[in-house]
Amino acid sequence: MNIEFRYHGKLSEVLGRNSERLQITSQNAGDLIKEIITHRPQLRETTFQLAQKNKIMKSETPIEELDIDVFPPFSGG
Amino acid sequence: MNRYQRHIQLAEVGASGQEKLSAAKVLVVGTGGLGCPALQYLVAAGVGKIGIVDGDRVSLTNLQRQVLFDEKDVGLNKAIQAKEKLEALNSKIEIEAFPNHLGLENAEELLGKYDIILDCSDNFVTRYLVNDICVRLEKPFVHGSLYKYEGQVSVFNYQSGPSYRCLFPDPPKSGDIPNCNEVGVLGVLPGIIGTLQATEAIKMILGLGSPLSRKLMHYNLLDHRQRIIEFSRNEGEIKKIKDLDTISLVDTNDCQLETQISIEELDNLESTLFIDVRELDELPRVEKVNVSELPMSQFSKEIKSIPVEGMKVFFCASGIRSNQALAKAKKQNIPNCYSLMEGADELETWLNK
Repeated sequence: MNIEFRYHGKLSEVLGRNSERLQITSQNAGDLIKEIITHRPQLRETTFQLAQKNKIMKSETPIEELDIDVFPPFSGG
Repeated sequence: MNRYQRHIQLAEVGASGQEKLSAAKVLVVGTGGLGCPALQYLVAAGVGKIGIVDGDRVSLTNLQRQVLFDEKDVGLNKAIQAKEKLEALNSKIEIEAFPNHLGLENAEELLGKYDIILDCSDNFVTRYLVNDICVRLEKPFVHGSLYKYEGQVSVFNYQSGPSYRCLFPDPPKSGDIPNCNEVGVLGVLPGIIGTLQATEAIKMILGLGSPLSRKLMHYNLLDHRQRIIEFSRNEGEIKKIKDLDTISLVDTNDCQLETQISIEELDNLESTLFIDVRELDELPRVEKVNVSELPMSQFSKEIKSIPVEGMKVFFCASGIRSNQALAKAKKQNIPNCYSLMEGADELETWLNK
């Protein structure tokens, strides 16, 4: 699958882009996280959640959308 | 004329809604960019009892977004100054100021006294502490947080809804990219997000509309794109926190550190070594005291050059890199290290007084 990832917060800064397309073989979110990290090792130590169709994906959630949002927590106030 | 006339005129609020507001007790943790606007609207709305927790002092760089404060407040405690300003706005409500950092020693007692908590803090240690205490007390809290041009808002623990840990079970690891490496923020962003936090608190008090429970609102100021992301309660995470004998602070690479010192607390300048962790081209250079230069870019490599003897005060432009330096020094077990809460500008001004 060719998936468009949209990076939010500091992730876009860490990766130097707001979004990108990656060729993905994972079937669910848990595997997808590992697969993203192999493509983008800068994300290995970061905390983030994936969302598709505006819903946070649990590790067993199957990938159904070709657009996925990648959200880190923010600390600033 | 009733000062809340425009509320009372709303059919969904009315006199009974206004009474609910005046019976409500709301605690605002942090009086920074988020806390200032949130407090203004809560106070203006007539929330009957409002608590303000903040152990920090106002600095000059706060004034770009922390709209309750003015130049005369620089150097003074934020909670106390905020209370003074807010009492001028509404003298008919009760406002309590707690001029301390929220910590394990005071959090449970403090949060326990209020119905709704607003997490307007600026670090993960406080955010997870607020969450964990609220989970154990089953108290709703409104989360607001920022990054540069983006913000997040959510209501946690509301009517058996999810908590912050259901969304982010653990804080970023200590090895993660620092969360506050002097990150900039457009001053209006906390105005928007803090106002949304006050909105959610007021809606909960009035039973109006649907609070952002089970939903994370993500807002990007650059294109005004908003996204509402749904998520669900994770019973395992909730149970983990509820079952703990005592809670502890999370370990994360963060702004908040316990050994901060403010200019006002400095004495024995002759025996204090000031360590400037800014890069060498950053101005003003401070010269009136005993200063050693150890830029963050060289810090880890040169950390062994820090003397073990005597008091050391790290400083930078705003107190953030100096916190990181402090964390590194602590890891190396270098004793008597402090991080200056203010920046080089304020230090220089103070030394020239």
